[in-house]
Amino acid sequence: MLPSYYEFHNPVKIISGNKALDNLPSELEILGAKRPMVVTDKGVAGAGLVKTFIDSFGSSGMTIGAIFDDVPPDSSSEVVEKITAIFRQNKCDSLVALGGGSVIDTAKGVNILVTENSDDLLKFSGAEVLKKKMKPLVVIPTTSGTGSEVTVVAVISDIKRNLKMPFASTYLLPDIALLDPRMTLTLPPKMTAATAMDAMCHAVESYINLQKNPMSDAYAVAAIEMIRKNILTAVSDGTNAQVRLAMANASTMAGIAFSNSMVGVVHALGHAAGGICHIPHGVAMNIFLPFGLEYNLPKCHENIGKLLLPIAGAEVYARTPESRRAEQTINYIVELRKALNDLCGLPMNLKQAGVTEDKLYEIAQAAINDPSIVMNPREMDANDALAILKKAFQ
Amino acid sequence: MEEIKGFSNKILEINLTDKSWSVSEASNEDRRMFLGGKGLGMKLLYDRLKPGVDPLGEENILIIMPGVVTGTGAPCSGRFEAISKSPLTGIIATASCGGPFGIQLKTAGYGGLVIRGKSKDKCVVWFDHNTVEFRDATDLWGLDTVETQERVLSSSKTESKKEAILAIGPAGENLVRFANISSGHRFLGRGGLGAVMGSKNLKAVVAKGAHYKIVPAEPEKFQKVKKKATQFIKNDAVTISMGKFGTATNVKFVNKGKMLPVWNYSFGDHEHAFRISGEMIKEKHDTKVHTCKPCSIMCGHKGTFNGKEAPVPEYETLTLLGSNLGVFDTDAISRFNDICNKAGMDTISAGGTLGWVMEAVEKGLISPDLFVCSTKSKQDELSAKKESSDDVDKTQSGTPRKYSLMFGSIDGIEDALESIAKGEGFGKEMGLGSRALSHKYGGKGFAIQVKGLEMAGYDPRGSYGLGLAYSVANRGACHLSASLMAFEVFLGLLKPDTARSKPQFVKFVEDLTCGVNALQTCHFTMYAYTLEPMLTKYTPKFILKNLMLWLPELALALFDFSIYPSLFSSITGIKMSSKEFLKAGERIHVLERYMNTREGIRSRDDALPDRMVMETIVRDKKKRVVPLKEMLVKYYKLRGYNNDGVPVPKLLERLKIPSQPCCSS
Repeated sequence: MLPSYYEFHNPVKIISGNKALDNLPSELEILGAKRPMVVTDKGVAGAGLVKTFIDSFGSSGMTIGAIFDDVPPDSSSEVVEKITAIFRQNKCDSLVALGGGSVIDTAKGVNILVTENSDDLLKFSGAEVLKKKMKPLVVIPTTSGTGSEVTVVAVISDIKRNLKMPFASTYLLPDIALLDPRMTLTLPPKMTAATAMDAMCHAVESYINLQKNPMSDAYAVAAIEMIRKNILTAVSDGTNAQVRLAMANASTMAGIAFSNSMVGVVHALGHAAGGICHIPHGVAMNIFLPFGLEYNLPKCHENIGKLLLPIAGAEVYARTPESRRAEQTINYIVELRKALNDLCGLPMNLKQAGVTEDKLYEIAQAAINDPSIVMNPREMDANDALAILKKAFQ
Repeated sequence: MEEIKGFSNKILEINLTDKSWSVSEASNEDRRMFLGGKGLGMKLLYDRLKPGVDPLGEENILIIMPGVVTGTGAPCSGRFEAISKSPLTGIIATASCGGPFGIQLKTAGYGGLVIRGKSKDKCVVWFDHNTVEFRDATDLWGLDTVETQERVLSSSKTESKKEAILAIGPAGENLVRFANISSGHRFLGRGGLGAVMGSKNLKAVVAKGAHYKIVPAEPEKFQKVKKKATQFIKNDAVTISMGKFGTATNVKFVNKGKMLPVWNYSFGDHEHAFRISGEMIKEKHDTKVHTCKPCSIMCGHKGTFNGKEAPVPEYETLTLLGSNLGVFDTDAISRFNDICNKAGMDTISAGGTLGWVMEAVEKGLISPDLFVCSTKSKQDELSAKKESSDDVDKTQSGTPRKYSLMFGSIDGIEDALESIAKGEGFGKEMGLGSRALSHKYGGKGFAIQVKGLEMAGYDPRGSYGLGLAYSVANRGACHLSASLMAFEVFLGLLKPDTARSKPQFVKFVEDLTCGVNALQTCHFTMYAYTLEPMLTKYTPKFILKNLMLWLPELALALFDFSIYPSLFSSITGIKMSSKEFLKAGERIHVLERYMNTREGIRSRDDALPDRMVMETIVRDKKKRVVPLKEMLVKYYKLRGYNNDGVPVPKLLERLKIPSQPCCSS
């Protein structure tokens, strides 16, 4: 059904291709950048991706102002401040984020400080606090899951004050998302699977929640279909460039979808479990997705049923009676999780992921206070959350 | 210990009606003509069984036959055969098993066991070399196959525990038309022979052997042949792969060849097929060997499923109770397998029937409410659940959402299997098989069976030769009558999507297989024994392929299967050439066909399901359907059948098959 009102915004230029990275110098030039700073992490550098990146500059004449390759998996305001100092020292004028969610969010944080000429990130935390157009930011994802290359949000921890600072602003949207399969070829199978299920959750939740709209639906459906067709090969044969590129595209499409329609209980539970028990986000998404859908089933049976088409293909969709499509959708996701578990041992329940039962209550409390829950189609209280967590425990 | 040179012609004849027994003698001429195992058993049945009898009636006869090689120590010689009239198909059923009963039967001094009549009370038959006892089985009735065997063995009076058992589970007792018979952890699987035992009130048969030692008539020659045979098995790539990964090694070939049954044979492949492959199962379930005894191929395995040790489901189980239902969860399939094994039920027919049921529900031919948790305890559980979650239990459109059987979902399958075994609710109807269900409710076109027997786990649209073989196989849609998929798909020697040369190969493989089943050695020895000899091994593959396609008669001459007649000759002392061996195989096959025609089988019954001849596999770019008609005409001609598929008198005469049985009954 067409919503009576909605907004959809995605100005990020997408550049996708087997050698997309080679276009980076000229794209930076178009953005007016002369001395970009590269933000990345040790894993990316260790996999030789920084070298591929530097090689792409070749004889372009563009100078890399600085490279920071030590962003930790859970980035913090301290790291952001450290990078900001290097940015200023080296008189850089733009940012290139080469990495996964943590690297991208860190670069977004650096961009806030260098644009606002400030050293206090906390001042800018919250929704639509930022008011200035930012420095050029190009994002080159090295995982296919977070969708951060096309989202308006960033989350950065403030370790001293022990809080997670959320940032939400259209100014945080990168200028360019550059999808080059060479950047994800070395991603290990389990990480590939977890990040892919993160993307799957973005797309699925964006399609069923309250803020869904025709534009986000289109991106979500296309993303799910592309994930379905490529996820198992991406995990079992990571060297397949076409499949990697498809997964990168799917992740970006899922990112565009949820950035405009938001997510739901699966993310609320995932954020809570991640915060309390440090389960990697993609792993949590994989665990909670079918349970979240089952929980939402009474409120959006029809929408979940429609997802059978991208998730299982036309033949299965056509054969499955309408009244049973929603169950079949959930069933397909259950089976996909089992397949991923067979392929790379991706945990299917909280126990396998190392969560102890005594934490469930705490996770439930945190989940119902997570902002992701706002747009979920069915309200969830602490008892509901605990019931889902118990189902997902083992 | 006394010795038996090669074989015994003594046949133990048991009549359950009056609890009597006698010993008859098979003639040497029958032994030479029909070899042993399935062949001699077929002749014994021909001589004793009147056409038209009720398979579940007193007049039906169950024959158990050890093989010629049984007990000799030849490679893969732990098998035996059962022959009867099938309650599932109404025609002759044969089944082979690698359990311990065969060796005990033979070393008790018998070359065959004939069971006729019907016991008034539930009974167990015990026998050794000179006695037969009929014991009460009231306490055993209702026990599963494992409990039955354990209970019977524990009641053995001997310390040596030399007994081996044939036992049925609840499925046999409840006359499930595809109930099987267990022996150890192996089964006489197909055709519902467990129901034949059940109909006779016969819970188990116990053989105490080890009275005789089986020695070959020509020991030196036997040792030489045995050595060669063992070497062939050790060298053959297919048997090596089976030893490593079990029969599930076939999954990858079948999925690639687009002949994996998925969603009741609608799809020929699936992206999750790797999950049921032998390679994945080995890695995930830490498998070990768990075979028939003795065995040199070692395709049987066990591993850890659901946290405990269990047999690795065979390829057919993985496909029929797995991919065919859209299930690729090996732990779940192991649970289904366990239910079937304990209940004593054929996993192929059970899976084929559930495949039909799922599609019938999908098409609205039957209501899902018919089979939701038919057992009482499950019903109570379900209604309790429903009361507590009524708000969640409705769809937006108000349709009840609770379902039990749906392609792709494991929900409800265990309940359905249990209800079949117990004969409860709709389970009783499912226990009649897919043909009977489709006759009652419609949906004949997607009842994937031939002559009432559900099809094995290979879609013939990916292997036309197998399509012909399924249609003409004597016991119904059997993949072991002529396993052409081996040539067409596994080995890549014969172009799969053409009718050319298929009738010749089907006939040849059928005859050879009958010979193999008469020796009662393992079917899988056919890979090693026919492909390892020099001519086939060293002929360049492209030449062999072209010869097989364009000059099949010449190609067939290259296949050296002399190991089989050599085994027969060295064990029995009866001289036999390859040509004579193949002719004996032909004789056995044609006799079975002839017996089936006496039950009414004609050309119209040699039909594949509509799905195989009229519908293409989903997403199959080649749009293949089996060109059955043209292959069938040629096949009948080659066989010497008339246009209606009946063996003509001239053929029977040439094969020395008497058109009327002698009256041993």
